[in-house]
Amino acid sequence: MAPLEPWEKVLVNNETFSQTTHGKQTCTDCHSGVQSPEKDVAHEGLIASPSSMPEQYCSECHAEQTETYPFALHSTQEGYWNAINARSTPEDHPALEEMFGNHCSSCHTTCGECHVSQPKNVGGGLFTGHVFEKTPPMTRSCTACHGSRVGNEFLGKNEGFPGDVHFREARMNCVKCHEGSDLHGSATDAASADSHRYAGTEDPKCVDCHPTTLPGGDENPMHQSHGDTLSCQVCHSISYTSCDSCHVAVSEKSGKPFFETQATYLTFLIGRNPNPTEDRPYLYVPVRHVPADPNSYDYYGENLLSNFNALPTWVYATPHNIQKNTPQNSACENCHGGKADLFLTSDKIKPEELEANLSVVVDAFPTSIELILSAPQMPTDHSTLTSDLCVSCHTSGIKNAPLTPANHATYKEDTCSGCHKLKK
Amino acid sequence: MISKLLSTLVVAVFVLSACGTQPATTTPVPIATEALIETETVVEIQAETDECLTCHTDKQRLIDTAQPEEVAESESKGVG
Repeated sequence: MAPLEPWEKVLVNNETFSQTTHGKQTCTDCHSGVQSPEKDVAHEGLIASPSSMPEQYCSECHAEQTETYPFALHSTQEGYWNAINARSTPEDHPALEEMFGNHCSSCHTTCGECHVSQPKNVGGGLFTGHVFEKTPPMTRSCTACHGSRVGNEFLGKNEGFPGDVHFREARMNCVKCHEGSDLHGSATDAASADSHRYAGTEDPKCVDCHPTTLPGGDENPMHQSHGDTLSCQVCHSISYTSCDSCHVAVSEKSGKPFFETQATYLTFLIGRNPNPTEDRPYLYVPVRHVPADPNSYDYYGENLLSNFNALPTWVYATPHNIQKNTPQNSACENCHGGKADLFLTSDKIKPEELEANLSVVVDAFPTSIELILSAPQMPTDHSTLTSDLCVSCHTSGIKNAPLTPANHATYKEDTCSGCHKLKK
Repeated sequence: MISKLLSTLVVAVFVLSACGTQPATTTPVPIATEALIETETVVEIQAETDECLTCHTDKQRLIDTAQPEEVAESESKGVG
């Protein structure tokens, strides 16, 4: 996105702005300053971004949003702190807070940075002559910040890979799925606020618009078999961006903060979900490498990420390049035939990051189709049993239950019914 | 004939001048009109002198008064 000229950033179109509700206010009602033809005098006490104080300037008309937004992730940036805190110790937090202020806090977003101007970390500037936009313009607001990964995937800017079907076919913009209530948050205090993007309920959720993909909803055996074990993106996304080793520092030459990432590349890799929850019960998810590095913040102090291995560097991802047909969903055997290149196996992880990724690495491939089809069916009298009880009988031989074969050693207890279907 | 015309003219001038003085004797009207004009003038002046809008709707004036932005090449490398 080309930066705006200085004059362009502050040019007001009063023909349109004055017709809007916000245009009925006088400029100084929100921006303070002084009525004077002299620029310097007029700008005395100027508040360039009134919505950085939403309780003072926005709450009278937008009380609901103003109450929750201070606890929303776009405001708190808790997602960053969630990862930084987990990988560090409290005594290193002052140095990390300095780092955060220089390199990360510019991503904090005010009301105005979505609804009236471009975000300041891409240079700022009014969208449309100071007219407030209820729906932020996608490329000048959303993907101006979320561009290198989400934006490129969604809009089809990764060479050789089509954009998301929701954009290509339906021209849907971000807020079609990420509604205002999601972006403005719902918590009214810090204790109940989300700590990262995958905390709390899954929202947006694909099945809200595609309800037939739920178990029992359609004839697609993939949906019926995998609905709650694979996230939708495992089958319906394609290659997406991963990055390695981001390092940050302040320039000796200009005094400005800068970063350097060592590599950016496209991959599609299925890993294990390190933290299945009731809302996201998936056992397998696509995983993306984040540019965290044990030495990312060395400019601010030695070994500031002393608990680096506390979190994976290959993380749960929700790529924004959904397709109906993908290389991996073209045949069952692609996953159920040991096609190793689809999975995050330990040989794809840097040796120094292996320990951090033990919870996501795939060490056993899905069972082959032949084995699944030849698996003995569960007797009908097992219909009242829940699957996680299987091993209680099938490892001890109670009531002459057949013992679990040796080749099942790596199987998870709760996946027995995936192969051993109940007799009808 | 001429004297007849002259006397008619004199009478007409007298009558017209008498009509012209009539409204001046109704005092409330000019006061009300004067007050109305004054209010309108004040509103107009206020609108014209919103210095913020005067400048921020004038592209050329913004160009002329803009502080040159320091265009420093980013030292960051790679994808952010």
